[in-house]
Amino acid sequence: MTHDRRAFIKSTAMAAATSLAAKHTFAADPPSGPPVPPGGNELPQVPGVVWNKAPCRFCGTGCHVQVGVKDGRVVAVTGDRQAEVNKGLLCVKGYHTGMILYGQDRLRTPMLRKNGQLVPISWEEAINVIAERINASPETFAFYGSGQWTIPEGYAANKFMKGGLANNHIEPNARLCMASAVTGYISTYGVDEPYNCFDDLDHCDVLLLWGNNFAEMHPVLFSRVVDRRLRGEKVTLIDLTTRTTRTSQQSDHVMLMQPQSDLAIANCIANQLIERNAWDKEFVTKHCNFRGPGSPQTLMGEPISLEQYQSSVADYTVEKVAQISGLSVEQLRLLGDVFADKNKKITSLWCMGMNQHTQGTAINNLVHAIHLLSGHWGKIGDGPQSLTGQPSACGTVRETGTLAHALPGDLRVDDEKGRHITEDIWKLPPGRINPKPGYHTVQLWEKFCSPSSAEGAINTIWVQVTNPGQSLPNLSKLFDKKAELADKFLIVSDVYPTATTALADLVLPSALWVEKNGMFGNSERRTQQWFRMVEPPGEARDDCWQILAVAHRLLELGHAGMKDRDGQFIFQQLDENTQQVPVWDWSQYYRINVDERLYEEYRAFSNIKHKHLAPYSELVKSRGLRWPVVEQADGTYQETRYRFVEGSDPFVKPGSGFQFYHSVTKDDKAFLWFRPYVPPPEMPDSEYPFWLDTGRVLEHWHTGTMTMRVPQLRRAMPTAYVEINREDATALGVRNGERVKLTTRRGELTLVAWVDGRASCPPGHVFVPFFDEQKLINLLTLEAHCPFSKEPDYKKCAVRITKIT
Amino acid sequence: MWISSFVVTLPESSEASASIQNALAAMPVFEVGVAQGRRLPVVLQADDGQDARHWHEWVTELPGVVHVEVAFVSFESESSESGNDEFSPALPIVASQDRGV
Repeated sequence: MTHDRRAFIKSTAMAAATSLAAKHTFAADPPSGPPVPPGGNELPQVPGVVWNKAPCRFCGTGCHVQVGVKDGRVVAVTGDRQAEVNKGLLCVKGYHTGMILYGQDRLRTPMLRKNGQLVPISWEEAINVIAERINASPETFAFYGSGQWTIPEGYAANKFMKGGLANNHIEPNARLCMASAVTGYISTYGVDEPYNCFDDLDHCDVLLLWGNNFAEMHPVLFSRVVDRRLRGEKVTLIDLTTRTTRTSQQSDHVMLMQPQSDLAIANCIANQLIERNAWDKEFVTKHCNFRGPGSPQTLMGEPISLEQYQSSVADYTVEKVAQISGLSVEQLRLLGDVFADKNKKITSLWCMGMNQHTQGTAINNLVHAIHLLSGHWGKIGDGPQSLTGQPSACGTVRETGTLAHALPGDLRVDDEKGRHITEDIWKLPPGRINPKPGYHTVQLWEKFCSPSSAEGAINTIWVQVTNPGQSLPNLSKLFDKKAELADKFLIVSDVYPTATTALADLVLPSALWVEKNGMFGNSERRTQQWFRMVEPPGEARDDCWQILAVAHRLLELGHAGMKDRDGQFIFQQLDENTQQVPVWDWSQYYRINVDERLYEEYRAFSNIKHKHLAPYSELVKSRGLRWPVVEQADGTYQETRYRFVEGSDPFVKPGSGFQFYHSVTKDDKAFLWFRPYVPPPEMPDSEYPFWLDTGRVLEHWHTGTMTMRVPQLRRAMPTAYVEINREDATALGVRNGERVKLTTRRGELTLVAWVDGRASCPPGHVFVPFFDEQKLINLLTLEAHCPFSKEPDYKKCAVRITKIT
Repeated sequence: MWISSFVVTLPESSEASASIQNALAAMPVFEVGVAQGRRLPVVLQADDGQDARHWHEWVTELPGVVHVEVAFVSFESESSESGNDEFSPALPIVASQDRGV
């Protein structure tokens, strides 16, 4: 790089930062004026660099970046100042997002295992192998994807499975991360996904974090709080947590709770509201039905009266809950005070702490309940909101329905009407869709790791865009057993070698991020779109193309499911002259915009439950739009910030104020739940005396497949460690940096001890991150899961620690 | 060459704020802009890109720094070379009890 060019880029960088520093980044009001097209006039002007928009590849925040491309390579990234989500800011992972494309070990060619070795093969052979394997036994095939699938990819996979193979064994890794939020929303409001949006962060007086390391895991959202504090606004942060983190350092109140006690704490808040007569009788009477768990507990429970509700929560006194939770009576009263104060706006946020929980649905229900009970609901800055960890857990998994029970648009396979609607949109013969839900994730991998002779066994799994060999719980049971079962066949589409490709029989190289067209949906119902900007390396190809190619090969093999009711290929695409475009042929795939075609077909589902998606052409012009996006009389499209709220949601009946129009009881009321505190299935004892918590770190995203290829991130955090309290370390005779062995009932792992590190565990607790494929903490974790969401609990099990001498 | 820019949020204390600005100015890898209230624009030029992350963390850890946000990054020469470095973690097939231990 010449001196002049370097100086020019430096001045550009300074101009970008100065511009951001000069203004309040997050305005209290939504932006006005016409939308600025991609490549707008605020972009850095660097000679030879062409910019275009894309959402960041990492978390569910959905920051938009501008990607700078020169000579066919991504060379720069800047925060997109036109994006409402991030207003030009990025976190450290967004900072490095361009570099994830360029790891030296990118997968570049299909590989088939022959005589124990993965050897290169052609795409034609790879597609044949998959199609023939499926055709021979379609009912024992399963598809496992993720919240990193783009919307068209997930939609295509779902249609291929449920509409083509009449097979519902399709699951996403999102079962492991946000399924409890889904069941929480559905069993409270009758329909999935947050009613509110990130604007709450610009308006709340109190931000209550339920087991959520917000500052490190969603740092750009945390910037909104920092921004408000800089403007002199008072935002009270309450960190309800099992370990102190960088979030705690910025919090006004840090409340260290015992694992699982969030259930008791939520009930204690409810009890205080009742005792103090501080609950919102008008709101509750008009908009809520009390609901109890039933016996045994069920997802939808049973109706209970106000009196039954009162007597149920009455057991959760501050004194009793102080004993369960480890919080002081004063801290519990402070939480009661917060919710009793009608003049304060409270935003509750949560992510994995509440979702990866054997009572995940219950705690989601309870946090919604205390907001409904107190009337802290439905006003800007005043309500409960879940966050997601993947860029399209909402847009792809929840909306296109890639869960084993689901169909696009919040429809279900076990609902006759839902199947009929889907068969109609997909032009399938009646009865094609199987009414029986497929296996959920834990079941699916158990069935894959069972002998083929076992009833209901799964023999072939195709994994796309995820790394179950590292991220599943209790890996020895749910993944590693595959190595002992010779007739099982594992297909993995990915961008890098992983712990999953290590056991794969067939590996397919995939295009990544801006190497393909794509669409994501973030945590606040915002649908986002981007175009391909660079070519994938070697022979890597789009995941969506891989699905279409296998589907067409199955058609050629005579699989009847690959035809619609008119005898046409289920993924048929016609050009402007009504001639079929052979999209299964890679050389023809980008002749048309397949993403746009699939998305527009899928969009028909979105109107069924008032989740109207914007036309693709509108998304091209925007940095994402929050559904429902409704066409106005003048032909423009209007997004929705708050669902169920009159004045914001166009579907709410005028004069009603709030309307839960998908209410389970069909009376426009939400469920206000009581769910009891239930102890966790495994707790420390004399043999395994510590709590083990697992999670993420700032530098790495999930299993590290991408971020471990960024030298700066890898060097900053090269290996997993066990975070241990100094008091415990002293008792064990362990010093910082020494090796210790962690043992649970499922496995053992040797790690380096980090005493008083970045975060801090209280005595009796340890924390291990899961990003390191050389140190698989999920060999130790528990596959016990929520009975309704089926989401496992990675946050708490019992462990023994032994110093290695 | 790794050129990037941050917005560093400074603490309320003017003394602590000045201390942070001085610390940044003392490091040749940084170019410090003009603070806008408590927001300070900073450009980082790391010679080979290997330690850009180190410096980002260094800024984050400076006593009193409230928050660090990223505005821009150019890794033009780095991405046009042979790609990232030696990381090659492809795992062999191993018995589960051996994995990670």
